[in-house]
Amino acid sequence: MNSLDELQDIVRHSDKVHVCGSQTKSGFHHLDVGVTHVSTQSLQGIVNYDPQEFVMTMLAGTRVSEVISILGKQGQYLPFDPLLADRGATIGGTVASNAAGSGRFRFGGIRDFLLGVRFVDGRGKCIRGGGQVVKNAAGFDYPKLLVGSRGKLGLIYELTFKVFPRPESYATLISRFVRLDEALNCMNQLASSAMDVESLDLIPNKGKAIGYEVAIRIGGIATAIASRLSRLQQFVPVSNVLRDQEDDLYWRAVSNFEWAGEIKSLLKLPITPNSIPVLDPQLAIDDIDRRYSVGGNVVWIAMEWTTDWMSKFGAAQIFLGKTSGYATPTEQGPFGQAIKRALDPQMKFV
Amino acid sequence: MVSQFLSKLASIYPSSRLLTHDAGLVPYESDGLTAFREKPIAVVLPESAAEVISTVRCCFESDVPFVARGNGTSLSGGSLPVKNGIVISLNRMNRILSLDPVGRTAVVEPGVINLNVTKAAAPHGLLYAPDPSSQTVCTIGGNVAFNSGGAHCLKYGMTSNHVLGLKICLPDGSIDQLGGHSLESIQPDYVGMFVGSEGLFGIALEIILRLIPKPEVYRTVMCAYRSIKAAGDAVSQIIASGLLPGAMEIMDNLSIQAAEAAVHPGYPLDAAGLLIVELEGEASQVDAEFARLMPLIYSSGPYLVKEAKDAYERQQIWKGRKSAFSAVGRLSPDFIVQDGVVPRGRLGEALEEIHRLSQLHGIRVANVFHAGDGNLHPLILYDGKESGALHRAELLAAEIIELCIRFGGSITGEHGVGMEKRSFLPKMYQPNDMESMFQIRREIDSKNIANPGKMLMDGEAPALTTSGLHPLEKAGVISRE
Repeated sequence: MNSLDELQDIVRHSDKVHVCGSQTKSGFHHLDVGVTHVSTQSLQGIVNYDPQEFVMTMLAGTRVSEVISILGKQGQYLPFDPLLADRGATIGGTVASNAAGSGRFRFGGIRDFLLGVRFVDGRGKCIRGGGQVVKNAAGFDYPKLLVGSRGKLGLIYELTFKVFPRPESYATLISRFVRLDEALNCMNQLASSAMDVESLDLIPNKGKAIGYEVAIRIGGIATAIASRLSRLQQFVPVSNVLRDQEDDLYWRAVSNFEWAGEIKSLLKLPITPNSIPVLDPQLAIDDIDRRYSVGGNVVWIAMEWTTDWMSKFGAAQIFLGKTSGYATPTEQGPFGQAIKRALDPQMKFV
Repeated sequence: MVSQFLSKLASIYPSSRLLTHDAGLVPYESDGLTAFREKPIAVVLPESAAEVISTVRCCFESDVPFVARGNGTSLSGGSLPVKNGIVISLNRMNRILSLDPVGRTAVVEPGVINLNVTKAAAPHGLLYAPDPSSQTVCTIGGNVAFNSGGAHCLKYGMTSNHVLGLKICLPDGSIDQLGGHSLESIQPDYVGMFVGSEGLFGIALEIILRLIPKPEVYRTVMCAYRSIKAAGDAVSQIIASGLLPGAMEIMDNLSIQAAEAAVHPGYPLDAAGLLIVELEGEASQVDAEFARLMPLIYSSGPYLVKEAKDAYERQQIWKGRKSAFSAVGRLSPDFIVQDGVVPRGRLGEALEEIHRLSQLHGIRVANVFHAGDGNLHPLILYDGKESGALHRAELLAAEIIELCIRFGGSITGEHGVGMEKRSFLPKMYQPNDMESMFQIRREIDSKNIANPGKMLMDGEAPALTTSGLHPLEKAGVISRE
């Protein structure tokens, strides 16, 4: 199905609709009887891109890797660091699953860069929200609403992003600590400091290797990187410095969850840095693979998921794995319920 | 009916915080958009979330519309009272409930003044980024309702980019908690949907704000040009070079004159266009950026370039810029300010067109704008005592808004739709889009009592007042950005 009309028809004539992109985030997908599965994969292409304007519009099924490549040629990028690009993620799926990576630490997440959207609502109508310019306060903010909407509020057809000039050079410091409190202290101090950090992750070592790593990525004008690195080195114990290709490969691997392995479930938990001292010891007892990302605002947990864990976590989303949905029941409040009723009165999107 | 309702309110509030007499109501008749006035039947001054909730429930039961209001600095008429409705004035709910320097968040009540958040965060080396010109007086609740902007949106975005969580009271009095303290979420971004909804979705009772580290250094440059187009071209070149300044602002001669007369920032009076560029961040990175910026600026042909040598000089440059709107009040008894947006590449074209329209109508227009965002701020000058002058100014304003739509931009970058631009919203969006907004509105506010008539046109427009500054504006407390 290639055309907007066809997509609208499908929504109009189906009882239940499940929307997906290229299914790189298995935790968002389910196969149920009586549900029409709609893939946006064939909605490919850049609709509008004026590099001077730093704004790009593309169809929902466009691969993130293609977007990154086209922007890269102009020295531009998506600062929210979309996840799973190398595995074929689509831009629509990235928005619907709110799949921002470690690099969103510096300038913000998907919500902060999505300017406009066209989507098909539960009545089969095409709705446009937001705009094509970098600043806009007119009307309700549908673009933000659809970030993390998991296909439950509408079928995303087209997206417009604000993009930024890409730092021309990056470097990453890996700093090792024996104790969690030392590693946390390093992360928190950097996060509150005037040093501009692109990504800031805390990684507990696995198995017999005790201790913690803090990964600090800086980016900017090439000539300033060396002095910024040496300044950073005065603040934190350094074990390793990654430059150029090494730096790139390290963060690409993180973005593709290579550390998480293939068979387990991968959970996303929004947290705050203050919750880590309580949460981490619980996970450490069972030597569970985990990575604290975005300066301690997200923890990614790779584990054999069982419901026994429910009581230990707050709200968690299964991102990758054999089961799908929320790992813990999340109640929809009256605001979310009202919006669902307005956009999808027959509760078609599941 | 009204007396029954008022007696219900009297059971919530002591008489000192329930205003029903003319003298008490007059200050609430209008906001920063003084052309509209409407007298509410009562004003209540809650001091707690519980009182707000009781008030909203009372309104819901009695079908009485309400508008929540902070300090009334809205430039789009967003906090104008609703006919036969009440004003819920939130100024007294002005507590910063908590501030977490490690998590870099603050939880505030809606009546907290914008600048006070940064003041509270400063001892921890943090700041609250959105900085509307009225930041010394406007409240966070109003910023949330209208998704306020400011000069530093270019790098860090508007209010919605800095609100992480909200406790809200919906129009039926029910309570919801949206978002939280984390930068990330696994729910649809309801917080983002609420911010900028102009009071149509209810009242924010508690707001979780994101704080960011104060930049290590600022380097602020002021450049004077013989033509405004040259200033605009400089902005295009700076953006195209891949630099990302914290702010880029342009003022035209009329605004320069007004600002200089009002606050003496040391602006060159003969400049046709004044460009302010500010880099911010880590010292060595900013120095490297500065080394790239200056050749671009010099090649753009300014006749004067001046860098702020210290914090005081930087403050002076910004003082002039931020006072520009109220300063224009010196040039003209009345003015309309707009905040349409055009694609950045079409700024020069838009300015030429505004100039042409200004000549055609024989009405003076001063321009001050967030050039880095393509966010225009034409100030249309008129004398309200002159018969038909407001109407003529409004016709010109309408043409400028339509120009923004035609150029693929927006009717408002940061002031919101409010009363002022509600008739233009259906020109920016298609019927389907408008209908969807009404559907959402109906599901959230089935009785249509939360700030009805703003943004979505479903109410009667109150009478226009043709002249006069807002009392706070006359006092120099607020300004129009």
